[in-house]
Amino acid sequence: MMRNIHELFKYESLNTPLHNIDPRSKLATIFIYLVLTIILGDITHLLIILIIILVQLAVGRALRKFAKGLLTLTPFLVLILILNYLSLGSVSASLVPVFRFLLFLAIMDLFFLTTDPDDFALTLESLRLPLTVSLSFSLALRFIPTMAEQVNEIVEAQLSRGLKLDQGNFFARIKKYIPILIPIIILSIKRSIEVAESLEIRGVDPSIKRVHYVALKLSTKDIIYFIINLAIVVVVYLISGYISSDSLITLLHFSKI
Amino acid sequence: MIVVENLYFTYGSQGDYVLKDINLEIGEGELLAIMGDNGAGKTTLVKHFNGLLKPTLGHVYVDDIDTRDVPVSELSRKVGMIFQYPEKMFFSERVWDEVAFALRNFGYDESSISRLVQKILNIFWLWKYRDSSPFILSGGEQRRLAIASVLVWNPKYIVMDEPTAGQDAVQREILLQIINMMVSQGKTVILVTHDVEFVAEIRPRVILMSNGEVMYDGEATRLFRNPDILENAGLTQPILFKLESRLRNLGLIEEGFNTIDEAAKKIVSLLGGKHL
Ligand SMILES: Nc1ncnc2c1ncn2[C@@H]1O[C@H](COP(=O)(O)OP(=O)(O)OP(=O)(O)O)[C@@H](O)[C@H]1O
Ligand SMILES: [Mg+2]
Repeated sequence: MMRNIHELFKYESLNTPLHNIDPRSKLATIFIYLVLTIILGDITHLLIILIIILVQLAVGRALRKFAKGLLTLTPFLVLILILNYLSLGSVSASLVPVFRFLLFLAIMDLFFLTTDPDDFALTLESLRLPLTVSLSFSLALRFIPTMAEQVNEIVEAQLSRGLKLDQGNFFARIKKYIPILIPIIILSIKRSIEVAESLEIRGVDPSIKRVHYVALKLSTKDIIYFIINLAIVVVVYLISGYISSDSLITLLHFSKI
Repeated sequence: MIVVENLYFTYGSQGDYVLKDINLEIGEGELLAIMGDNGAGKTTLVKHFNGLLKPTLGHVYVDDIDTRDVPVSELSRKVGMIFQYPEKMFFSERVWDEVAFALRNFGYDESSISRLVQKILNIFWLWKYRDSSPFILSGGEQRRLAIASVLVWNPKYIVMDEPTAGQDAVQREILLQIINMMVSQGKTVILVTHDVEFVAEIRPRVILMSNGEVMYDGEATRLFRNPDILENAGLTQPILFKLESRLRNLGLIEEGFNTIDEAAKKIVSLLGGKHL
């Protein structure tokens, strides 16, 4: 599983309606969804939001990657569930944090799997963040796939030298990660020196105001996209005041009679 | 013997195969070069030999063991894999520990470990560095150390992915010696490379790949006399064979030559044996 982890973060340049939405509009959209995720405390409502996000992921052809990511994180989700169950003592209450986490992932994927890292940098700059911040952020993002490929290579090299990652007790296992972690740290340091040098060579200077060759432009569809999502968020929020899982269960109960 | 049977492989699930219907037999003690352009699937193919990748369709057998049935750690004892830029995988404080790493993983006892490590470090002219950090070695020494840290457990099959990448002429020469040594010990050596000049010096059996398919499987010399197949796989003729083609096209020679010495003799005789 660990070996394909980099695939999950890789932005793919596809031509879907979601890829064509302005990143600022998407950023605002995921922001309101994130706020809603934090406010809502009921599985039913979280589920509604999740479905809406999943539909959007499907439109952006990112559903498969999201699903794969989920598979990798399943043990983690189970852990959240168990810990919450132990402290709350109720399955449905412990499902809420699990769903929040799921939603959080889905919302992040909605943005990052459909937004070109370069456009993301432009977005950050258009938010008037200093160049050092926006550049560092987008470079970091860009390096996730390369880094992950490196991890992959090093894991494969050490496996080929007989390293068995899944044997021994807890501490023995942690020790086994040393032959993987050290090369990665060394490579990252080398890489960051290279990047710093190449930025300097290309005359990147945070004190100079930059103009861009490609400019972001908000169009009507970007605004419509945001407004529709805002409407969904508002509606779900309003509904959440009236219908909860409990009332739904009561409703189902009555309909049976 | 390594046997590849109707091997298809895809990294994703969309079904666009990176390897398409590969069939091969690699005999014991054979010296083999897998060549081809970037993205041809060479690395993907060799990763099947020690089980890092498992076939999507078809089979890979190493000494009659289906690679699907055993873990990488077991196949690796037979198949030593030296990756492209293998010095990336160093992590030990001492050269000695870097070489001993695999032996410890394979459960050798301490006395065998010291014996084997000492032996291999001597063969690779690295004994004097045994207590140094691997990171202070020169590029060539690091490459040698990486190779030593695999050869130390004496695998029967040895795969080297782009061994000449980033190495100078002296290191290439040393590499040639190492390869000759392994072959003389009866090991099966599989080289993955774009380096036609390097292959021209060792003249192994060549498997030429392009687009996930085998385009040619046979003698290096015959392949090098066929610029069209080479070009289709993104390679050019080695300089010796370019010269031969030119002379042939000029109608100056009929028979070809196989070595630089033969070429020199031929040219001298064309000049009528005269000194210029
Ligand atoms: N981990 C991976 N995930 C997805 N696709 C991959 C992965 N590794 C390689 N590929 C793809 O598989 C194809 C074959 O790659 P491979 O590395 O086997 O080629 P190669 O012949 O070794 O090339 P090179 O000469 O550049 O090393 C390429 O199209 C490559 O993009
Ligand atoms: Mg390769």
